[in-house]
This record gives sequence, C-alpha cells and structure tokens, in this order.
Amino acid sequence: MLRPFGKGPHAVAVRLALHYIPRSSAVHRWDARTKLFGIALVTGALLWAEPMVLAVVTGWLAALFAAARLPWRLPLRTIRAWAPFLVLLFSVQAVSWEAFPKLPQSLPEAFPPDSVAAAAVSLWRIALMILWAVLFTATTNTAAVQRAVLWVLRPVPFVPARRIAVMAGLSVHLFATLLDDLEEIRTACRARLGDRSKNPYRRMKIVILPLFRKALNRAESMALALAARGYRDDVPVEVPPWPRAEMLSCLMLLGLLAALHGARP
Amino acid sequence: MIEAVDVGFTYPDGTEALRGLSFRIPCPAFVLLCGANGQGKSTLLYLLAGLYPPTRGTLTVFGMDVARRPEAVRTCVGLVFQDPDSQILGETVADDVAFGPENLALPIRERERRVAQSLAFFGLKEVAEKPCYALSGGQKRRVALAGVLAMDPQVVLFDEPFTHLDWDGASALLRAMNRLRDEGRTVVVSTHDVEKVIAHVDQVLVLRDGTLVRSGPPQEVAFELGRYGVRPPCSVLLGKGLMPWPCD
Repeated sequence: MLRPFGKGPHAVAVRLALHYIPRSSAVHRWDARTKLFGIALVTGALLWAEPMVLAVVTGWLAALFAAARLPWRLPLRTIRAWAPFLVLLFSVQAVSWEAFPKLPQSLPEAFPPDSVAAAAVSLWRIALMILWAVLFTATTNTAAVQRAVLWVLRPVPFVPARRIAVMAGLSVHLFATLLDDLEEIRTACRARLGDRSKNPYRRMKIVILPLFRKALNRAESMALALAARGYRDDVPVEVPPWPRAEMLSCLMLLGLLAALHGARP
Repeated sequence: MIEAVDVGFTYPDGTEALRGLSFRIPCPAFVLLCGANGQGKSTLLYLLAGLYPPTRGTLTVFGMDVARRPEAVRTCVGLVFQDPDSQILGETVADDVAFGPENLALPIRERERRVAQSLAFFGLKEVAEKPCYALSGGQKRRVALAGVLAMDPQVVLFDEPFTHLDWDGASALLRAMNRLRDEGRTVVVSTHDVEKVIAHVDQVLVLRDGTLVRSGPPQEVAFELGRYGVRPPCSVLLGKGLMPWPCD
C-alpha cells in the first residue's frame, strides 16, 4: 500500500531535498556566488581530505545548517533517500576482492578492517558532498542561481548564458512538478486498483507511460508559456556585483583549505 | 483593435482546427469566446497570443501581423493558460511574476514596481517568497494572472479561467476582468461555461467546428446558445432574461 507523502497537495515536492526552503537567515542572504564557490572549494577539498579535515568540514556544515534554520530532519531525510546508493558504494569498497572468485571463509576475510575503514571515510566524504549540495539548494533560490550562472558564463563567447541559466531554473521547477504528477498517477492507479496487479512489469508500465506522456506535455506547455511570456535570449539581465567582503571570505577559505592540504602528513 | 480576415489554422498532423474566421474586436472591450469542447477556442487564443501563426488568412493585433511579428504581438497580448501549472515558470511567486517584466528588458526599478503592484493587486504579497509548488489551485491561478499583468498587456486572453475555482475565487477573477476592461484593456475569455461571464461582456463570439457561427451582443446571443451546443445561462433557461453573475 502507498503511504501518503504528507498533508496537502504537493507534499512530495515539499519533502524533496535539493529544494529551496525560504527563510530569512544570514546564509540565505549570502550571494549565490559566495555559496557556489564556497561549496565548490569545500567539495574539492573533500576529495583528498583526511578524517580530521572531514570532521572540521562536518562541523562547519552542522553550524551552517543551524544558522540557516533549516529543518533538522532535512539532512537525515536526504541521507535516507541516498541510503541504497551509499550502502552499495560502501559494500563494493569494503569487500575484499582479492580472493575472488573463491568465497571468503570468514567475515574479516570478506571485509578486512582496512577496507572497511577506507570505505567508511569514502562514505563520509560522499555524504558530506551531498549535504553541502542540499545546503546550497535549500538556501539559494532559482533566480539567484540563475544570476550566478549568468555571471559565470557571460564572459564565455558564443555561449547562450541566459538560456542556460533559465533552463537550469526550469529543470528544477519541472522536476518538482513531475514528482507531483508521479504521485497523482500513483494515487489514480491505486484508486482504480492498479496496485493489485501481481505483475511488477505491468505495475511499472501503468505508472511510467502516463508519467512519460505528462512529461512531454509539460515540456511542450512550458515552451509555449516561455514564448507567451515573451522569453528572449538577448535580454540584458543586470547581475549585481559580488559583495567584496564575501569574495574575500571565499579567498580566505581557499587559503585555509590550502593550508590544511599543506599540513597533511 | 484585433482583426481577423478569413483566418484558418491546420495542425501539422492535418487536423483543421479553424476555418474562415473573420471578426473585429475593438479596444477596449470585454469579449466572450464560447463553444463546446474541441471547437477551436484554445487554438484561436494561441493564434491571438502570437504563439501559432495562422496557416491561412490574416490576423492583426494593433496593426501587427501575427504571422510576421509574433514577438511584438506577445509584448502587448497576455495569455492566461487553462492550467496554471503550465504557465508558472518561477520557483517563488515573486520570481514568477518578475519573469515577464524581465523579458521586456525593463529597468530594475520599473520591474520591481510592476511586480509589487501586481502582487498587491491579487493579494499575493504575503506569499511572495513562497515556492509556487506549495500554493493552492486558486493561488496558482492568481499567480498566473499576476505574471501576465505585470507585463502590462493591452489585451488579456483567458483560457477556461473559472475551472477549479470556488465561488470566492471566481468572483474575484470576474472583478479583476471587469477592472481590466475599465482600465481600457481588451479582455477575451474563452469558455464553454458561459454562466458567470456572459452578462458582463460586450460581445460574444461562438465557435463550432472551427468556424465562427455567431457573433453579437450578449443580449441577443445568450438566447441562441443552445443551438450551438453551449448551455445558456440559468436565468435565460428560467425565462428571466440575462442576469449578471454577482461578483461585487
């Protein structure tokens, strides 16, 4: 049986990670470029980070989640949603492939402590990367992201910067709408006893095909709406300057991460 | 002034949606475009909004040929879609309302003024920063309308605007339409449910099988709607003449 996703319409979208959550916090007010570059730097640093650095970065993340006044369930819900992927990744890395194809005789032989520790650190890294991305999307609205994308792409010749920025925003919007559509189709399917079918292929087909049709219709309507609302590639969009203090903070973060990298044993 | 001369439209799959349409709509005016389902009402609105070019004939809006200058037509014609979810493109209410003015390349101050005015007009100030996916159906309808009006179009087209609206929502929308007409704009409402709007309009156009079968003032056309597959308003059916649907 399907579990309802929450109260009210669009509850699925509300529960979505990677979604903007409006608040009036300092983190929300930061320029999107500051957050984008800050997160890019931290994510880059995570690739080589030792557990000590991971612990520092985890502390920063927790502090920023608190400062942004985001729901405390958001990181847990996100990790839960990614759990199958994370578990798979952990298992693949933790298991010893040396004896393959011979079956291991004991648990430590199958999962050597060194591999388990390395897999745990990798898992920690990936979970942090996901949560930093969640922090960015939860505190930055699409318009701000679009302006940041415009700012980055504008100097690049022959690139339709505004089109790319608008499409990035619309993709987020379409994704949420399609999740609503999916929930609607599943409910309609359940109402007509479609969930009683024993055949998993049929159960999947009766949900996926209507969703696919809806997605195409939505894309077509969106194209019409863009035209109806006068969308043009060549409209000059003013992007406010990047606040100097925030730019300097990014440079300081870069310096700090470089120092941490240099301090590696 | 909107003028259609022998306008026709055929979809790429060969479906002939409109044939030989000729009419004139003055500005300002409040016009009802009615007909049963599938008679070509929405297609005609898309043509008027400069989204589809007519495949035959000439359609002009304020002297601009829709086939030749669709982008110019779109700057002075706003279309409110039947399904607001199809029209809403912004993440938050304020973002969405600002999308059109941004495309008009207006200075930031003018853009902000229009957005604020539009939000206030439709009572959306409190939800300005709310994500659009979290709005109710009636609120989404108002956001769609606010987004169109922020572009300050001279002609506003509504495709089945009363669908999914409760009494209060429908009354508020009808009040907004009357106000737009009073401000000197042309309002065209396409619907098969004429009950709410017919007594308020200046002109009625009736479509059947893609052709214009009747046009005239509501006082005349309201009594003949049954012939064209459109249900006349209750007051007419009850023999009480044409009575306006209360919206004040």
